Amino acid sequence: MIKFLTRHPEKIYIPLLEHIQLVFLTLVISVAIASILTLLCMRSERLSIWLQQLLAVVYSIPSLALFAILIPVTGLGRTTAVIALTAYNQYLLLRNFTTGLQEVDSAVTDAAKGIGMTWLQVLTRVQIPLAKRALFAGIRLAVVSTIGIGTIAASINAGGLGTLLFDGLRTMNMPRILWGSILSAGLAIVTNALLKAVEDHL
Amino acid sequence: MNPYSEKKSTGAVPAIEYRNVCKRFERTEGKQGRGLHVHVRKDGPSNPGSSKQEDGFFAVNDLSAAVRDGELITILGSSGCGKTTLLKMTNRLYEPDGGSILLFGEDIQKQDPVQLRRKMGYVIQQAGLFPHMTVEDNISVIPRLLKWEPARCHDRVTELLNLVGLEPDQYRNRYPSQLSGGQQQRVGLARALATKPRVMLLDEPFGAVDAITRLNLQNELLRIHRETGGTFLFVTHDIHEAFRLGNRVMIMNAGRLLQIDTPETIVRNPADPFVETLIRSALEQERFWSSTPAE
Repeated sequence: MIKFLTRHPEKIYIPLLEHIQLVFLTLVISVAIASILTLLCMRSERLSIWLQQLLAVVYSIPSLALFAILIPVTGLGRTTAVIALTAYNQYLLLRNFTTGLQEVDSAVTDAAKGIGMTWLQVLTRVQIPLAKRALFAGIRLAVVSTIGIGTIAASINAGGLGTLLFDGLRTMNMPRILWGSILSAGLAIVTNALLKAVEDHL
Repeated sequence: MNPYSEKKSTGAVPAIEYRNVCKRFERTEGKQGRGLHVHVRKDGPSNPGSSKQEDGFFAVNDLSAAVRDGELITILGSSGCGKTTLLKMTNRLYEPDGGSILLFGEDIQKQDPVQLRRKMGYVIQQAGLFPHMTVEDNISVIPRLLKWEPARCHDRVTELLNLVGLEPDQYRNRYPSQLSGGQQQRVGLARALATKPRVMLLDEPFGAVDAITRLNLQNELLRIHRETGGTFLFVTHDIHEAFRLGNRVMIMNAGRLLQIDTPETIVRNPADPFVETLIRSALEQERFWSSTPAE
């Protein structure tokens, strides 16, 4: 294992960096879209119920199947992976964002509105600061889930730690399999712990 | 029938005028609504004579009243009588389904809700303070949104904390969780008074504090009303509080206004059997206290 690392360091750190890149890109896009959807859901109860159900269905599609469906539309590669991962994240993010904001004491939001805040001021000055932990918890869940599902993205040529795993399995190369497993599990565990620590300080 | 009594022709425009205001809620909407009637079926028989309708009920039903500038009006009624709904329509947290509300002669429906609310103070039962902001930030939140100079905000907070009886330097940097219930209410009051509104809406502000604190807060409120000279609308379900504080008392039941008059006149001339019962029950309680001499 160590020999593999010293001999082919690029075969380990490149997939790792690719993986982090994939997760980061997905995260930024996911949070942006989920924020917009959350705002829309706050305005319309019906849209909220409908969208949550739709996203729950999307979330239940096995990842390999979702990647496969997208290939005819967006082809092989990272774009497809990001789209699929973003779709999965919407369920986690939207649920956590909407419940987090709803759990803010209605006496406080009523008072905020009643003393003359616009809905945007209520959101940015009252609801988001009070719900920040719940919002951040949603992001943490989404990141960890993306790191996990992201390994499958190697099956559609999107790179990442999955390539190590898939290559290793195909050639029964033990060091590759081990490095792939340890790094993807380790990345998820470490990221989760780090984000949890940040969350606890909020 | 219309208890739109006592409109002394002072010639001045009333601070607030309710004209045939109605508000209807769907069956399950409005938790404040009348819990007994949640089971109204959509296609069930409508119950004539009550304010229920086939698929909802009137929280406020054809209510007209005028509040003069500078008055302290208490709105008295049991929970679900529509008093909170009436208050929330006054600052457009709810929109009426019928009728109109005039603020100094101008229809509030034609005004921007946010601007309207900034012209009125609003205090609610649990104070509704922002837990993530200090007392100072809570009180100056609207002044800061209005881009007041920091120094002006600071001075106003000092002034307001003095007004509500809290030592400014001791309390300005505390968080709401570090205050007692009564102190939180005082801060809530200060926050509502921050921009010197001519109208204050108070929704059972002292409902959750103990009897002794409540008595103190009531005295402070009377003093603040005297000092600011604003028009205060004070919702309560406590008859003693209502009669003690109000220049006039509005008595509501099942969405209707039964009587609006000075406490003395109401006691002498109850306009309605419900009002009579209400006063008798208060007197009963009174009798208990006077017949049980304290040591």
